[in-house]
Amino acid sequence: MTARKPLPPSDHVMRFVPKSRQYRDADTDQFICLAEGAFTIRESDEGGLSVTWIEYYGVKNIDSKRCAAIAFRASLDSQRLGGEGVFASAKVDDILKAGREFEKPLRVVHDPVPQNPGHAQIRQFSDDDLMLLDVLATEVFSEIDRVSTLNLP
Amino acid sequence: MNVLHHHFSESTETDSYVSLSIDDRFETNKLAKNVNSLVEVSPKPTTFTRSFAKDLTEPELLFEATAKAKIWASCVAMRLGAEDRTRIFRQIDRLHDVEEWFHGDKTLSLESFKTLIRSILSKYVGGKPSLALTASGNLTGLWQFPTKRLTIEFLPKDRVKFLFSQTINGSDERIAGDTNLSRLPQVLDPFFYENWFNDG
Repeated sequence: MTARKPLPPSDHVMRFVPKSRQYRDADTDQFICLAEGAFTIRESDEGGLSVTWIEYYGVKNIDSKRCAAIAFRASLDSQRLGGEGVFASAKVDDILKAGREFEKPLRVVHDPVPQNPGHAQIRQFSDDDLMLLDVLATEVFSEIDRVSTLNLP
Repeated sequence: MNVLHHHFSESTETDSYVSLSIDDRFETNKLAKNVNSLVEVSPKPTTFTRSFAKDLTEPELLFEATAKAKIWASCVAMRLGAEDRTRIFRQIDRLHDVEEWFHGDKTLSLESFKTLIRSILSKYVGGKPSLALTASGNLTGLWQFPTKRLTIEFLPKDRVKFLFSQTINGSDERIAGDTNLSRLPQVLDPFFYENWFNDG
């Protein structure tokens, strides 16, 4: 695997979490929190947990998040995101700290792909530790933006 | 943060998640036969059954996953309360919403769904868990209270993984493990097992 440049610890990444990987109220269907499954590795993750580097698209704010979301969507075969999907954001340093807590030497590296030059990966990650997945879901990726509120074109 | 990781060995006790009398068993077998006769593939497949044999589109795959789960659950419907059944079917439908589906994700594993239903029928779990899917199509359930939460992943063949977490004096505590479904009450007993499933 090619060595890639690590992201600055003070920067942020975001991961798309579809509705099926969210805990929602059994009766009302209201969003409660991310499920641990949000951080289980998909076949499309290809060796690391796929995320998008927010600061690649400018200072972290709603506009750079929108750019990151548009680029992420463009990189998908389907070119579409469900409106109740969410983007969960985390600080790179918090991801690294969570990894150290569970003795996993995580690295967050820039890994540009066609259509999403801000693509990044969390490497040396495995999804076999339910506690690490829970920490990522409840403490680290704690900033949540619904796709429908990002007003994507 | 205090972290403990428990692994529980397999229980040697026999499966005892559903205790049925002889009459109950007769009734269950009769119902199962009736249901099977409804879904049996005829020697001349209908258009509906033939379409399952071809390469399926994503909406067809989603429909197939939910249909299989509902058909299987209908075999035990008399033991699953109407309210639970309706709520679980609705949740399964929401998890497979065509408009929200992420292309390429795996649909519900029927074996995981069976473990969830058996856990409810045997009253090892209860209440109204939130449900979600993992990358491998297993169901996970969440029971959440202000300072504590319980997550259970329902694996095939009546295995479960669980994660108990709580906040004590501002500090988080997590305990995880995996065990057989039939051992779940004993394993969760130190964590106020009874309270989780009755809005405690």
